[in-house]
Amino acid sequence: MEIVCPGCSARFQVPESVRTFTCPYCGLVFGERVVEDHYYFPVIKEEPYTMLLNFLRRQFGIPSDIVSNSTLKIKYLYYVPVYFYYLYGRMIGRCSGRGWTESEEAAYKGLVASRNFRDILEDYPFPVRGKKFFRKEIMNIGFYQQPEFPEDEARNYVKAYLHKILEDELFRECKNLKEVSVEELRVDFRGLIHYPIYYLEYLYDDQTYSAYLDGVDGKIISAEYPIKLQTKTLQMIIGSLLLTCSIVFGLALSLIVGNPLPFIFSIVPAISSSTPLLTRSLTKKVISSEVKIIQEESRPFTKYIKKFLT
Amino acid sequence: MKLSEEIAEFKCSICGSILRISPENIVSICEYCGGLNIVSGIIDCEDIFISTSVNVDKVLEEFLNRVRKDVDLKKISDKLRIVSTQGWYVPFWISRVLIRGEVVYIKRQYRGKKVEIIRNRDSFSEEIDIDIIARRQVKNLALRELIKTYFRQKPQLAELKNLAEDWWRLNKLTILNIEFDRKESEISLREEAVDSVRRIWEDKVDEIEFFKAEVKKMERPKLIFLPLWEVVYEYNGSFYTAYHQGWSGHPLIFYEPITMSRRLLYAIGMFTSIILGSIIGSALSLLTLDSLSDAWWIILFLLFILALIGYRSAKGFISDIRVEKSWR
Repeated sequence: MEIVCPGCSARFQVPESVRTFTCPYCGLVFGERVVEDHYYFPVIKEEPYTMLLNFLRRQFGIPSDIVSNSTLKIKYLYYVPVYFYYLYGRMIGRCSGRGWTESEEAAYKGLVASRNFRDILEDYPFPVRGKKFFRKEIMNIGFYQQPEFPEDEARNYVKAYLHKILEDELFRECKNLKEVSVEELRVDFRGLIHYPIYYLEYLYDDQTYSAYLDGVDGKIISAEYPIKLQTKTLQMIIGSLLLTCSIVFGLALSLIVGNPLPFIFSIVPAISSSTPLLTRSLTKKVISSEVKIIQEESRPFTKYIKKFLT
Repeated sequence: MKLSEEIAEFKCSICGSILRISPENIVSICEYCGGLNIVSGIIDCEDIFISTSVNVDKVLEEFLNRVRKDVDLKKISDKLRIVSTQGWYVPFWISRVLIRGEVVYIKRQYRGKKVEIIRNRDSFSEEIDIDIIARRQVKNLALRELIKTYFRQKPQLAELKNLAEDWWRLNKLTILNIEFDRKESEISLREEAVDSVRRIWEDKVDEIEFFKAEVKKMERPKLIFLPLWEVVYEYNGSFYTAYHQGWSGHPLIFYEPITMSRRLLYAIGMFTSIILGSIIGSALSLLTLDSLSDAWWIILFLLFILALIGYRSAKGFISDIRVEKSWR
């Protein structure tokens, strides 16, 4: 559609989904004061392949010539559409012999409107800042993707999702529910965001490796890479040594005391510590992710210990 | 194109100049006259509180202090290079909530070979501080640490409306806009309060048979803006990030490279879990069969801890980065 800037009277084209505009000529931002709108995130200025190499060179056991001897094969920038919803729901249930209980949920949910990127961006921790009002120029940058399904289809999916989380929460509050009824199920559309994702492929030693980068902050969503034969060998040696030590010590002590406990107590930690090393050695292309590290760190394992102790 | 009645043109309310704004701004300072313009549209000034922030020099001083004191980083401090330092204000909705309810739960007591199932009914009344990040789908580790530190230290906050004009000129940090208005925040805070009390019970007991909780009292939610600084540094060609809270500049989260000595420690950790396992196993085998079967759950717990030590050490050994929380 065509709009007219109230500042300089310039005419320009924007998609139908846009409600707040930035005039490409005078820079005036204008439009409706609405909660739903069409936004985009601008891409990093840095070269994504350099960002990838910076990430790769700190990986344990990566060949030292990865920077000098690898070449970029493919670099695609995708602008991926994500619908955003505000969800609110309330569900009540009668717990057998105990009265009524209820579950309530209020949350934001992003739904990736591109099948190819759904796995990568579903529940993705978007950057805390950087979003801008939509500019038509981004439609000419990289692969600008239109949503693959309409908003009402996305709404139905999100509605089903809300129903499911309310039901799950209700079952956490009562195992023996007799009656369940939905009190409120609200799904408010809060806008469309076009999010930049880089897809890269690079060649090293005649092998192709791929990577996905967050186009906003250069975070590595996932990256494949090779590891040196020496590192593979070292990991195999340590892994095997751990297993051998536990078998030798454990068995010897078990024979001395006449009880299997020393063997059990040494083989269990040996298996749990050698598995990551041996798996990594046997993998042809190792995959690493910066996003995963952050997500793992936000789930402290100490809570399981606390529960066990109480 | 026909727009609705309420058209907003983002021009300075004082001189009429074009404002440089983005959906992330809550306020915009006019580049021409320096006038303050609230551009959010979904927030009332009365609800906003803000903490002052130290400047970039203080953040860097704290960063370097941390590097000098850290066991791993001090060894490589001469090879670290600061790439960028930036800060911004992050919005959180906070409130204090009184929550009452009842819970029927099962707790298993292990007495010898027998497992005694105890069913209890308890009433509870808890007053808790609750917070939510006023932004969509953000799961930044540093933000969680920032708000935790806020509740621990309770730095002084100023009301936005009382800030002098000079403050806006001196303050260089972007104040991020909110994406939850007050009404939505009330619902989310209420829901989060119930969830957090349920989580406490889930962690304490083996099974919840019935849980019912109600928010009895809730303070009017306050929108607080806390300063967060991000320092990006380079080591050996790779980038790492450190986050600092802004009211005193202390570090919150440090992403650190894994040094050779640290990797060696992880290797020792793997072998220690096995040696420790053999010793514990031998010690346990000295117990009689009867007392062993009495304590089978302790055996399982010890095995779990040993497996965890081994696994975490192995993961540390092959990983590329270490996350250190230093808010304490």
